[in-house]
Amino acid sequence: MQAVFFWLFSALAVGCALGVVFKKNPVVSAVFLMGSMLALACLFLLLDAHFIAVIQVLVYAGAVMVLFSFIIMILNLPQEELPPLALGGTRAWGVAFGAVALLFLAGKFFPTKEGFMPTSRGFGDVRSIAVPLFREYALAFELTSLVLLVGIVGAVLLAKRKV
Amino acid sequence: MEIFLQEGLVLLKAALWAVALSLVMALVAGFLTYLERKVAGHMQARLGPNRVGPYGLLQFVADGVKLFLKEDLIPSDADAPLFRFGPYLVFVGSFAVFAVLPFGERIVATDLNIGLFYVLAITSIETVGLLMAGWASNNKWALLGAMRSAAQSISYEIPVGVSFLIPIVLAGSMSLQGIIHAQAGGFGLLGWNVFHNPFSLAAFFVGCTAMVAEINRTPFDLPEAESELVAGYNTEYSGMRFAFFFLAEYANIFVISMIAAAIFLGGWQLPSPFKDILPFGLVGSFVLLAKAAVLVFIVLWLRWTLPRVRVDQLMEVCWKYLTPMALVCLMGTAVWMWAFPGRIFFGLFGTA
Repeated sequence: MQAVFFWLFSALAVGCALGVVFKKNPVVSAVFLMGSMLALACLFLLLDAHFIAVIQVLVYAGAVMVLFSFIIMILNLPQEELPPLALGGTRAWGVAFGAVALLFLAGKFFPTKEGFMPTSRGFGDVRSIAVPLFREYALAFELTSLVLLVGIVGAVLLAKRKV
Repeated sequence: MEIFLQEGLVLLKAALWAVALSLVMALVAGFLTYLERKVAGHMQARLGPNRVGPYGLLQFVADGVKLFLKEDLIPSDADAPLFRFGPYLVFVGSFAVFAVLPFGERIVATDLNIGLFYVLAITSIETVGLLMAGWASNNKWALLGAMRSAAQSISYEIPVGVSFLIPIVLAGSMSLQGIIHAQAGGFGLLGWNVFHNPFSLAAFFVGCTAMVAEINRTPFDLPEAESELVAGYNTEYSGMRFAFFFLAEYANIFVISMIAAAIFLGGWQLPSPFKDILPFGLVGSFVLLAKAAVLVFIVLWLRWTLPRVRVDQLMEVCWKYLTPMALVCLMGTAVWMWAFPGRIFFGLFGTA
């Protein structure tokens, strides 16, 4: 049953990702992006990583996608008009980079002879994420939040009307 | 063969729960529409619906049938696929929460170990549906309503989330059943998280206010705002699609009341002699539903009492008052647990 669901959600994730690229209407693209995120969350669930799955839905499908759609709707972008095919060079570069990335990922993730590592008990619950985050990587975690804070303040400063 | 049978049983059980819960959702939401009109009627010195069935109780069935038979209109300039898809997303976001609602000590579809967090996450999908519906309608009122709704629920998610953290910290668990189990003792009353310490008492009110805003109820109903935006994001909807919005909206009232009752008001906790009068902990279920019913009534009462806030007031309440208050409550609760480990407020004076 897991295998069935895995292929179902993988196909959904890939299909939606293709939809993001090929649809010309930005709002429809955004909806497909959300579908892809949700399918990814389901894949995390199949891996017993409940916490990450929920974060995926909460942060990406919920908050980030709403902001994306918000911006797209405010800008009211017209249907993207494909520029004339003068981008042969760009396209070649894109294909090359894509192929390299694919090879890299394939080397990293295809099962070795021993197969995948089985997950330990309690894998993916809140504790197994929180403990390393706040003990081993506490400094990096706090520094990241500082960087985000700087980003937020910067954004407000840039967007603020001059008084 | 064995494995197929087992997995088939799992799927069958899931399907049965889904059917049962959708019936519960439809009935509860339907009944709440009746209740709202009844409460509104009595608050305005009229009777409210009283024609269909005894006391007008079957009014919602009649309304449902009417909506079912209505023509399904899609505006010609609307984005038809998104217009169709929006209401379902809203409905799914609301319905999925029912999977973790604890209806009793042993009556729950699935007790996720991240239950409360799941509730926060899955309800955020509703916002996307609203935004989609508002945009696809190609109508300025609908778009304005959807924009307001998105801004509102993203903002109010923060005080809701932070005030959810207080029961989680107190129970050391995110599972709704785990949180209810942790509220045992004190004659089934003093163990409630509301009475745990002054900060958790404040957090209950902060959390409830923010939840009312999160589900777009008056006084925070700016996304619909009949007097300004016709009907907000659902202006262009009719028939069944409109019914889906309505169903989700009223189911949400029930959902927030159940969750508030479960995580702050002790859920189905009862003193042990009363617990076993009926099998399956049914007494506890009735107690929980009664608590939820009181909260539902308060939500309805608010609607017919308070005027709507302005947009700037809405944001001010969230960012300048509720969020800092929720954070103070969280810190206070943590300090309390460090200063008086394992003691509740009333336990400080007596021997309890």
